[in-house]
Amino acid sequence: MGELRQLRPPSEFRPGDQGSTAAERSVSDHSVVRAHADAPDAPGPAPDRSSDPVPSPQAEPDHVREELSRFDPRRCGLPEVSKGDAARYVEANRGDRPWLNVVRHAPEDVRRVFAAIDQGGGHAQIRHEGWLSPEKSQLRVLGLQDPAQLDPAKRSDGIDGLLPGDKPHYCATESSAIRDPTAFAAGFARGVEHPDVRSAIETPRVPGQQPPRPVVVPIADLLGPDGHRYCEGYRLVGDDADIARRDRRTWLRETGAGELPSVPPPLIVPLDFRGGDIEFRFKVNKAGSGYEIATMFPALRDSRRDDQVTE
Amino acid sequence: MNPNHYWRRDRDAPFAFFLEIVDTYLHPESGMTVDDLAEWVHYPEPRDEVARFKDEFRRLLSGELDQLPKGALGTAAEYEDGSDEAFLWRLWHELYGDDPVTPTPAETRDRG
Repeated sequence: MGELRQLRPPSEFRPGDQGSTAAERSVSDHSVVRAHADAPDAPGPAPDRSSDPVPSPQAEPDHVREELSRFDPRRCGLPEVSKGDAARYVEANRGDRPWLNVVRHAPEDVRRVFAAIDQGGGHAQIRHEGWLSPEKSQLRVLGLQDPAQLDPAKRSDGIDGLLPGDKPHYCATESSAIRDPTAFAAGFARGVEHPDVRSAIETPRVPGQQPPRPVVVPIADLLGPDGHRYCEGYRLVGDDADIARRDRRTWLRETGAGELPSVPPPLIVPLDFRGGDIEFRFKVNKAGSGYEIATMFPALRDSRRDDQVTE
Repeated sequence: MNPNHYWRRDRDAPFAFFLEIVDTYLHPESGMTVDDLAEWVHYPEPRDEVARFKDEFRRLLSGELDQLPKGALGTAAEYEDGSDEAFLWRLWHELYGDDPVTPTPAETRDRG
């Protein structure tokens, strides 16, 4: 696939981003900078992309438009959505589901992909798309603040926005997103036609059987050779990720209780997704009849040096 | 430390099956929880792969943990227990309660 549209500047806020708390702003203002200063051995920050060749600002190329036009939601366990229905769905739901605001003025086919995904059970469009400001992505890793949680107080308290019953939100060592709605929609539409993804989605659902394994597809295959430039993410700093995750929880618990923290604050670095993958995960669809894409997100590829077996 | 998905590159590697199951059910992006894994583990109809999972689990808790590549279990589960061992013991109790790590005579007989 060729170039998509030019990325928005990472600092640009999206609709629905307003309302962050002072604590959120404080955390996001300082943590990344401190991460660089305090962790010389940490994974290197993403290089300054201002000198990279920038995809030309243009509407999506014809072949991307064709792929988006061919997108059939029913082929991935989602309800059929017509173009007209997509516009109506976005308008009717964008108040309660602010991640839809990014496609309010997007091309019809992009809007249609979002409307279909949003009626499924997956969360890719909520936690791994560009409606998130970089700050929200950072706070997800640093403070386990769920961007899907629309109540600022609950978000600040680490309450999950999708699980019922005010359960705590949990984020892995990394949080990542495809920061452009057209790139996201194109990646999804292309992904569902990938043979490995198709095989997973078409796995017959048998009670007692495990769900399909995750599938990884190179970013370049889905978003083009410059596709990594649409991807953004952050990672906890630490020589040992297992310890970094434990210490993050300890720090949040202790500071939340007003105690003096016994561990350093969590720190993050931005990720460079050159040579990376898009990872797809699957779950039983809403109808319970088969499988759908639970999520889709940019992921780093393993480093071969980590293949060493522990001595 | 970068992620280590060794089990995806070599499905015959030691404990690749165990890691595959943990990754599928327990990674935070999976959209599933330990309850879903427990449902699979305790499904009324016995399955070979459920027995294999428990067998590999037992071996890890019985001295073979050093066969796991460093960082792999953390990559699969993204746990916050601080170590593979702490995570495994917690998970064992969540899935199997007070079941002994050593197989019972009946389990040994069934496997044989």
